[in-house]
Amino acid sequence: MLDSILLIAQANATAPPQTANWLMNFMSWVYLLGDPAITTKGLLGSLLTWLKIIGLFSLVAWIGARVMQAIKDRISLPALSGIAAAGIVGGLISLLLQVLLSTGRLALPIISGVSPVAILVILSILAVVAWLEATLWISMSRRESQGDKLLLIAMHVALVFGMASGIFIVQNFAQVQGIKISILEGIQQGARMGLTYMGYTSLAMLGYRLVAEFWNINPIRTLAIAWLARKEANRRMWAPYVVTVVFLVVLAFTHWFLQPPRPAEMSRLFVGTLTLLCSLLITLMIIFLSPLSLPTDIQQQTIYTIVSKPVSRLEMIWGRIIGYMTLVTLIIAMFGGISYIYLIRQVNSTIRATNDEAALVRSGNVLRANQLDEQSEQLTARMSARVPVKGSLLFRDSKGTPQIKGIDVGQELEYRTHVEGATPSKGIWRFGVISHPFDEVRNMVARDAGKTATPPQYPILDRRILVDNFLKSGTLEFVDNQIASLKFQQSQGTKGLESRIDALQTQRRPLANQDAELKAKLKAAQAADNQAESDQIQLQLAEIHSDPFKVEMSFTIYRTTKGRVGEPVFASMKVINPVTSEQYENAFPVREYYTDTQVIPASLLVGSNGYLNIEVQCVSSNQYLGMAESDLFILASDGSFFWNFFRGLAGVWLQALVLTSIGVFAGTFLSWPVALLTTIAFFIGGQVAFGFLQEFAIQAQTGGGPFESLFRLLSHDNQMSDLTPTLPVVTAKTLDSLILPIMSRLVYVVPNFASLDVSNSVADGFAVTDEKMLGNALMALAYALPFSVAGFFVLKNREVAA
Amino acid sequence: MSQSDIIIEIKNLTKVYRDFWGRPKVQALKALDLQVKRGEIFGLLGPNGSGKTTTIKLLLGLLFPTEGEALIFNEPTTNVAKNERIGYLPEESYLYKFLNAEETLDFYGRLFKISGSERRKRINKLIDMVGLNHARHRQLREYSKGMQRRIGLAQALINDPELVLLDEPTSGLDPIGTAEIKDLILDLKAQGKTIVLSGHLLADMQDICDRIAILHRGELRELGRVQDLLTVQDITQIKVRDLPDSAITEIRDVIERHQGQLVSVDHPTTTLDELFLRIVRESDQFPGRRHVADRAKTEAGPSTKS
Ligand SMILES: Nc1ncnc2c1ncn2[C@@H]1O[C@H](COP(=O)(O)OP(=O)(O)OP(=O)(O)O)[C@@H](O)[C@H]1O
Ligand SMILES: [Mg+2]
Repeated sequence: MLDSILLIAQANATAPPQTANWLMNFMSWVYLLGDPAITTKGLLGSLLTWLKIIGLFSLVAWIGARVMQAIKDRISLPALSGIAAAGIVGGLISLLLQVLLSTGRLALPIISGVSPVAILVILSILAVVAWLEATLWISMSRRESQGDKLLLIAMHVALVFGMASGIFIVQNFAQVQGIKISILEGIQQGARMGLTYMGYTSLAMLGYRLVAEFWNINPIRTLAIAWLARKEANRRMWAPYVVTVVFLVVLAFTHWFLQPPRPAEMSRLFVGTLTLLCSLLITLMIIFLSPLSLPTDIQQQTIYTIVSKPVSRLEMIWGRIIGYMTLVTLIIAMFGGISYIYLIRQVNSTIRATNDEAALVRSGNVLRANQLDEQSEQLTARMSARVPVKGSLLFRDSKGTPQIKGIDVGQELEYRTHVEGATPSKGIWRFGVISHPFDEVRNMVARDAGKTATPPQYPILDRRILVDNFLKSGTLEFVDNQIASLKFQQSQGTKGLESRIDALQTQRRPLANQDAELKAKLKAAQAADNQAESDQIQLQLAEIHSDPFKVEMSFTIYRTTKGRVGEPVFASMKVINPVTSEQYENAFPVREYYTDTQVIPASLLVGSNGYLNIEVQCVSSNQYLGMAESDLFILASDGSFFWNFFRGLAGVWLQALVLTSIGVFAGTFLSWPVALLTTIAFFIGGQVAFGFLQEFAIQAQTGGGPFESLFRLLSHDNQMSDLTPTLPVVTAKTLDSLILPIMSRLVYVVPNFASLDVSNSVADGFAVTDEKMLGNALMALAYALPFSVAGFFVLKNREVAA
Repeated sequence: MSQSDIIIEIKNLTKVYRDFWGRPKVQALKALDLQVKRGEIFGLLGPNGSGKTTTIKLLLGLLFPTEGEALIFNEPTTNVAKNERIGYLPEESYLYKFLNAEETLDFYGRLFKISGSERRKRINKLIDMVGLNHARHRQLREYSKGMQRRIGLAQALINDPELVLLDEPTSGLDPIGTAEIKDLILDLKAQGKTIVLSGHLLADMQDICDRIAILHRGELRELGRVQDLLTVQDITQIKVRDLPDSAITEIRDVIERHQGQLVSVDHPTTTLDELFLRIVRESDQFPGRRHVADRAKTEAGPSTKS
């Protein structure tokens, strides 16, 4: 819908001015901020979505709490209850009617463009709203809270504003497009936007109260509560001791049951397992600590002595979180340290053993010795923190036709697809600001057929290579690249660059001379077979040239019976600079399961503007090379494994932070067994079932919602078949249409624990980048903060002694 | 009486305990009106379940009133900042059993921004005062009930509070402990502090309280200066030294002439025990609200309404 708004703005620019431009600008902002499903790109977009969701939840919580209070205070009049009941019944009936209509069991006449069901829906909603209004105003008038009254009024202003904007936007859209849209659409859009703005309003109020509370926070007191939480964990639950003992016991037996499938994957297996163990133990500890603390405090009435002191409820919550997180930090540091030492010792001793063996067999069995060398090399390579630059992959099949995927050799669980040996079939990785593979394949087909390309339909990908990071300043390639990019700018119409190009040319000349000189000398030395001399010259040459860059890949091979056993399969790689058309080509035997590294001269990057194509073909006939997008990348840098390992553990820390706040939050209003179960449910929901829940959110699951699925299960219908609209089916669908929207909103509450876990990257030897860490930290905060604040409001508004 | 001399002001305070569905279970407090003044020892009396603890919990914001309000230092009970000046000993010693005496006091001390050195000084003094020096490093789970009571009391005084709320301070204490607590309370009063205590040990209350309120099933039954309450109003007592028998006969005549009746010549006052029992019995016989005037205020008007 945002696109359509932008369309309106565009249309407005050309069409006779019906509405002022500033108003349209303003309205598109109102729309962006107000529609719950619309967002923009980047951090701002995430923040906006976050605010909208939190706002809606705080709105529901605020209204829900007031209504509950009103019901408990028995202020509702019988007439009001009747209206509410009528509204709810009407809503249910209209849902049922809607399902009946959509399954074709019922046909209703449309009265002047409006379906009777829609009228029933509106009437029901009006009834419920009327009841809500009356209840809220009556209960407000009883309680003397100035702030709440103000908020209620502000919410109505927000609702009216959202409603009016929604109607305006839809009507304007209809007008510009020259189509007729029923007023109901406008009202619906208005309601969505009105709710969002009401959400912001209640959020602002909560924010104000939170800030007011925040000033009362005292670090000494908060740390005292944290200290208490830690002491409780130590002395009552014995948590850290239990966890440490389990960790050490498991570690002592690790090498018994951890047998890597290939020696080179040892570190991968160990890193993965140790991080998993650490994360498992910490998670268990948090699950048993955080939701139990407040309920026992309340149950054993120890909380009386806290609440009667000048302690803010926010301090009681944050103090606990800080206390547990201190514990988690200490334990992670300890486990991490032990794991790291253990890991290094294990891997190093394996490397040493492999090297020793290689030395032993070298004279007799060269093949085996080489194999062992490779193994130890791979073991070392995995203990790194590589930063990859990833391209976008597409294929040409054996006839040369562009394809999204390669050949499927029928291995079901394989995410790689294949290129056939000794044919034009190849995988192409593209780098740069490039079109989406779907668009590119379509355009390649068009270009091959001599037609013109069509505009992109999918998002543009930014897979640029940051060339400056690969070229050493002051080298020939560096200067060349600068000249090239200035010339490129010049060709784009930028003026006044001549002097800078001249300066660079002057800088280049001595370098080029030196290069030519050294190369000539090198030739002479090589001709004279003077090894020492030529080595010396090589070093000097390296001084004025940038280091070559590395391309790493790990392909699989699918062997047909036609090939000869034991003979290596060869691949060829062609690196093309699409701007300068400079090429580099090389063929090499593919190492199965291991990483192949190819070294590419830095000159290929010169003048590329970050664009590069890498094509990989299989040379050996009748063999297939399996590849996926992540199998090939340019190695940007190679960081320290030590820090990467601890970054992996930081992921565990962030998980613990989110889980702790959920646990403490659950403890503010639930008894400990329920709070414990809730925390476990959150963890499982976020760790295991997140993808499933997400699908729920977009309601894209085949076979309908939970009730319809249940029906299919009982009636032995498969997920795809169309169900005959019998009464049970209609009932199930009706219940689903009631449940699904609620469920899909609730899904937002479940944090994506799995995405905070970065141990896979660490285990695979890839660097966990700063951006990833920052993103994960923000995400963890985006959950931890609202949960803890929600806990504060619950605790503030509950009687701890009741 | 200036406004700042009123430390606690309770107006129409009502508390109804409800179940999960909001249905009323118990009406624990019915429209209570009270004032506690600076520097006095105020006793809350009443049989079990009469609402003493409920009142104290309401004062501390542990419970929220169903109706009415309570002000402490002229602040609403939900304001936690006022707790800086309050000390509270709960009915039972609800303390963290996994801490030892010293840690307990240190922890509570830190909740009142008390500096480290000052904290250590007070901890030593208080542990000494409640006589737990020999057990200061033992975890509270090993403490006897009386010992827990003592550390609870020390905890209530860690911030040198202006107002001390003690819910049955002497329960579980031995006679010596009880006497010590009484001395301590009087000592606190001497320091100008205000003390509110609840309890059953009437003899003790009689000794130390300036004013008392007697609650019965959530209703205020009696309120006033202990001295006034215990004076039997319809009995006039004349104490004379060295009066000859003839004079006594004459007085008898005078009394008879005024339709009076001589009851006895001794036992000048009743005890709080008797008063208490009488009120409880009367209340049981004639349930319902009763007009209670603060007899301390004499002519100052009624402090409760019907
Ligand atoms: N949490 C609660 N839920 C329901 N009713 C309660 C609760 N706490 C107290 N009550 C009821 O409120 C009334 C007053 O209780 P309260 O504890 O205030 O009495 P008390 O005067 O302190 O008694 P005692 O001398 O036994 O300590 C009692 O009837 C009691 O059953
Ligand atoms: Mg009590």
